[in-house]
Formats: sequence, C-alpha cells, structure tokens
Amino acid sequence: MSAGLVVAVMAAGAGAGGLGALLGIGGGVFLVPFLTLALGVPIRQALATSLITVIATSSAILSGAGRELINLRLGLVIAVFTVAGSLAGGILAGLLSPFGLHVVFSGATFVIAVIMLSRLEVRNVILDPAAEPGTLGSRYFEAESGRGIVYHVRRLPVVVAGSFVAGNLSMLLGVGGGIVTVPLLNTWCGVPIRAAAATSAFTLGVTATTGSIIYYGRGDVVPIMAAAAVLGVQVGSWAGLRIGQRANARALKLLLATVLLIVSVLMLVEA
Amino acid sequence: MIDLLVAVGSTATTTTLAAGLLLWMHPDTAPAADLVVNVGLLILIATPVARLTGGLIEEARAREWRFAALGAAALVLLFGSFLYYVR
Repeated sequence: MSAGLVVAVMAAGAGAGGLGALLGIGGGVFLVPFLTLALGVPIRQALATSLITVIATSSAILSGAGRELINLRLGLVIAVFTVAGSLAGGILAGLLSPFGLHVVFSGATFVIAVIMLSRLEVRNVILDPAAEPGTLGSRYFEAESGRGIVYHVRRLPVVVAGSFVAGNLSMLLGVGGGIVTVPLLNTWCGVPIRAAAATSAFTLGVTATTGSIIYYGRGDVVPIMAAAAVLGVQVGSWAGLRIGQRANARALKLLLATVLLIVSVLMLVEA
Repeated sequence: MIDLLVAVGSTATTTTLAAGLLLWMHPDTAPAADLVVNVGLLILIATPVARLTGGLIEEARAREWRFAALGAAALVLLFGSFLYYVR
C-alpha cells in the first residue's frame, strides 16, 4: 500500500469524521463511494474500512457530545433493533438485488430530505423545563437558547421500524445507519436534532460492530488502510464538533437534508 | 461509566493506531506494524460493545429493568449475529 493512498484515505476519513460529528452519522455513505470510485479500492475492503470508521466516528462524537444529549433509553431501544436489522441484512441480501437496494435507498433518502426541508422551522423542544419528558423523552441544557429544554419521543413504532431498516443498510452498504435514524428521529419522532445526533452516535458503533467483526474475520480489513481512515476520522470529528457547537439547529437540519439529497444521487449513480 | 469507557477506548485506539502507522513508515519496523495496528483495531471494535454493556449496567443500577433487558437483548443479538455469520 502506497504512502499516497494512505494520505488519501486519511483525508477521506477526516471528511467522514467531520460530517459525522456535525450530523451524528458515520460518514460511510460518502466513504464507500470515495474509496471504490476515486481510489479503486475493492468493494469488500471499502465496506470493511467504512464500517470501522463508523465505529471511530461514533466514539469521537460521544467524546465531544455532552453526556446529557445522549438519550440512553432511546439508544438502547434503537440498538436492539439496529442489531436485529443488521443480522437480517445478510438474509435480505439474498432477496434484493444491488440495483434494487440502491434505488430503494436513493428514493428513501430523497423523500426524507424533502420532508426535512419542509419542516426546517419546526422545533421539537418544550421550553418549559418543568415539563415531564415521559418514559423515553429527556431534557438537556441548550446553549443555543440558553435554557433547559424537554422533549417527548413520539411514534415509537416508527423508531423501531426505522432502526431495523438502518441495521439492514449497515450490513448491506457498509454504513452505520445514522443517515436513516437521525432524520427519522428529528422529523417524525419528536427528538431535537442535537439529541438525535448524539443518541444516534451511541448506537452507530454498536450497529457497525456486527459487520466489522464479520469483515475482519473474513480478512477484508486492510489494517494500514483502516488505521489511516480512523486517524483521519479523529481529526475530522474534532473539527466537526467545534463547528457544530456554534451552528444553530436550523443550519444543522439544512445541512443534513443537503447531505441526504447528495446521498440519494450517489446511490442512483452507484446503482 | 459510559464517559470513562469512551475516553479510555478512544485514547487507546488512537495511540495504538498512530504507533502502528509510524512503525509502518520505516522499513526496519514495518513488520511489527501489522500486529500493532490489529491490536488497535480490535480495541476499537470492542469499544461499542463495552459502551453498550455500560449502558445496560447504568439502567440496571437505576432499577430500570425494561431498559437493562433491552441492552442485554442487544448484546445477545450482537454475539448471535457474529456466531451466525462466522460459523
């Protein structure tokens, strides 16, 4: 493996880490096409590297995010169904053609992006800090408004179904699933964008662990490539977290919707 | 507990992988690089499992048995999927 390739992979990891830290996604949706199309990395090695960087992004986000932003209970609910979805992903792979998978994912991310854009001004917060968050809701101090806020989690069946789908995609596409769970939680389930990103980060790593172990066991992990990508992620996520602390919620949602639209196009191109 | 696990895991991973890459750069130490990097990758892969376990313990300590059970179920599924694919 050449030094030039190592540097390129490190830079790609930095980009994935930066976006991941801002939006609570693993960055794999960009990393896989970049590794395969731009650097000519074989697809299985690209998927393996991507899943490992998703774990790194998850850890980096959790290192920087306030602990109170992570909704642990909601994260445990999501974790169960993403892992179940990841397990089922291997079975589903035999039923769905790669073309069909990419088209479905492209369509789904497009729809989610459009809905997010239509709801940019909607905020999932209850400004009365004395309000009860309910079993799955939570509260945290929001720097943007300078006050404590509360939120309720709505539509639990949507959380369950979306988490399962995210787990499927993790195994099939080498992503963490955050690209599905973050907009889902924010758009339909009443979770503010920062809490959705932090909670997603908690579960991303768990979701990607299943695939990482399998690819590692099959010898698809190129250690030096994975190391370069992970170290790039550490740098990128540090920068992403600094930027995210200064960005307002509307800007983050707009960025996520834009990312979803780009991913939608990338998936169609890959199909 | 989760904060501690995240901090320890991230630090150990970064240190080990950086050391591995430095070893890889020099021809005399390159043979050792793979071993060091693989150790770092295994630490990285183990970190989310440790975090999930930490979350399960936190909920159990708070006597929130429903959520502790969810954490345990996720761990069982995680190991089950691993066994299913590598058998």
